[in-house]
Amino acid sequence: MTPTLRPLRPCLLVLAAFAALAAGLPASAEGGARPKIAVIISTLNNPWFVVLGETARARADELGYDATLYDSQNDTAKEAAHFENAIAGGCKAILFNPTDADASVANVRRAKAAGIPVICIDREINATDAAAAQILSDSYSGCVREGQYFVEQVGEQGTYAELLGLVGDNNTWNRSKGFHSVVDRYPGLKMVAQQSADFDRAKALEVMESILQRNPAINAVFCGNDAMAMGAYQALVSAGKDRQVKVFGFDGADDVVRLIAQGKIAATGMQFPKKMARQAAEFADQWLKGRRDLPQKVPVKVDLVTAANVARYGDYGKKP
Amino acid sequence: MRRPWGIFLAGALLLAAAALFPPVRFHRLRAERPAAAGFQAPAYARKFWRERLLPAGERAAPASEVLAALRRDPAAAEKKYGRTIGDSDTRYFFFQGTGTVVADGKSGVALALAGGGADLIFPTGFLFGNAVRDASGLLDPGAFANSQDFNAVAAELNHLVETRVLPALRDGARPGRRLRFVAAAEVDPDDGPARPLPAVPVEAAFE
Repeated sequence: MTPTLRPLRPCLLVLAAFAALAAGLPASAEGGARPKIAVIISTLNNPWFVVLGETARARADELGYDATLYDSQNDTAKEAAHFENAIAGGCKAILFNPTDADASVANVRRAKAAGIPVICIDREINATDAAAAQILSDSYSGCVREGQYFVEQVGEQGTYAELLGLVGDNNTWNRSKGFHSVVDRYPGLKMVAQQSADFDRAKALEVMESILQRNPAINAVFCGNDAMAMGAYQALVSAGKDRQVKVFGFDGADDVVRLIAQGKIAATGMQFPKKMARQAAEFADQWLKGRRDLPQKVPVKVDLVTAANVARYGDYGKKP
Repeated sequence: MRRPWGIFLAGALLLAAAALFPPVRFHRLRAERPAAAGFQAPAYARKFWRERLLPAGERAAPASEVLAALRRDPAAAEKKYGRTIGDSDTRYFFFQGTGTVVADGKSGVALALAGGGADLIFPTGFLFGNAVRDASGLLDPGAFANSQDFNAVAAELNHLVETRVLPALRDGARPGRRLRFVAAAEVDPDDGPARPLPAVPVEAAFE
């Protein structure tokens, strides 16, 4: 630095610091393109995930980012391609609902290596050193409560079926294990079928039809999400068994909440997708503004929704 | 005539170098999976119970103080004594004290801390939930790569209470007997603090 510029050195340093800070911040309305954020969701073939993805995108938009929503269609190869596009496209952060707790880790690590923070939403990855933070439904605790309610409603004697979600997703097993941690304590409650329907309504309809053919006298069905609960309920209506078989879902989807209010479905677990999605966008924004002490895992409480309290719930959350 | 030997020698050297310093290494994918695959929840829970939870009980807040605060001002009591995990309005409390057995029924052993009615009830049947895991605030979900492991610890800790604490409590509970305890309780804001407050004893000894 020349002697004539030396007195300006503190000012230049301050200007440089502001410039560096501004590089990580959303551009103002007047100032150029907004920084990009990718919202990568496991599937948009389920209204619950559409709410999750759209809410994350909307909150990122409010915070000053240009957010793009990607649908992985429950396919890890598609998910990997979305990550490649997001990294190559200059995204500053990724809000991510993984397809597979193990297989998705590599994608998160690839983004991290490129300096891009990833915030997982609803579903976790099996690593604690890859994502910047993970905001996760406390599915296990929610299903412990639902299992207790199941025993209250079905009784300590009876037969039931279980529809599992995607077998590679931890939520599938957290829900199943939470439910069984209660129900298995009652030897009079017999599980006669346990099959995966991949969290999918159409598959659940087929699986439930098949289960009913082999087990026409079951008393209840526990479903690992509400899309499957809707499929199972549809199969029961078609078979004329919707009054005989109690249906238990999980998610807090609007159509299931409405059916609980009508006395047609027994219960669900409200997962608060909007709350989780907003929090994820806010975490990404905070990270880009310099915060580095985000909690690695934030379990989000799941509320049991039954006929007794259904009036307090709707629109994917709790009414104010 | 010497060229074939030279080519052979060069090829042999290349093969030896490739064997010593392979350009590509093959790994079993399963070996790259997180260590969580080998997590042993029963062993982890026993160690946690012995080395961290029981010692923490000696430093737990006095039960009479916590319960009085909950009755007076639940919000203030939650702030002062309560713990929560993640984003939740459920509060967990960890406390210790001495009380008198006032009832022993199907719903559990009821305890009065001072004169009057029951302040606490220790259920003596099946245990569910996370109060034992979360009330002490000693375990962080972010330390577990797979949340299934964190949840399995909750179930194992409940199992330890069921097998190590509850049998003696059930057998020895008689109205009038004095009981020293360390316990964990869960309060849901929708229900508020019940009286008697259901709690899970992690230690219980009759005087």
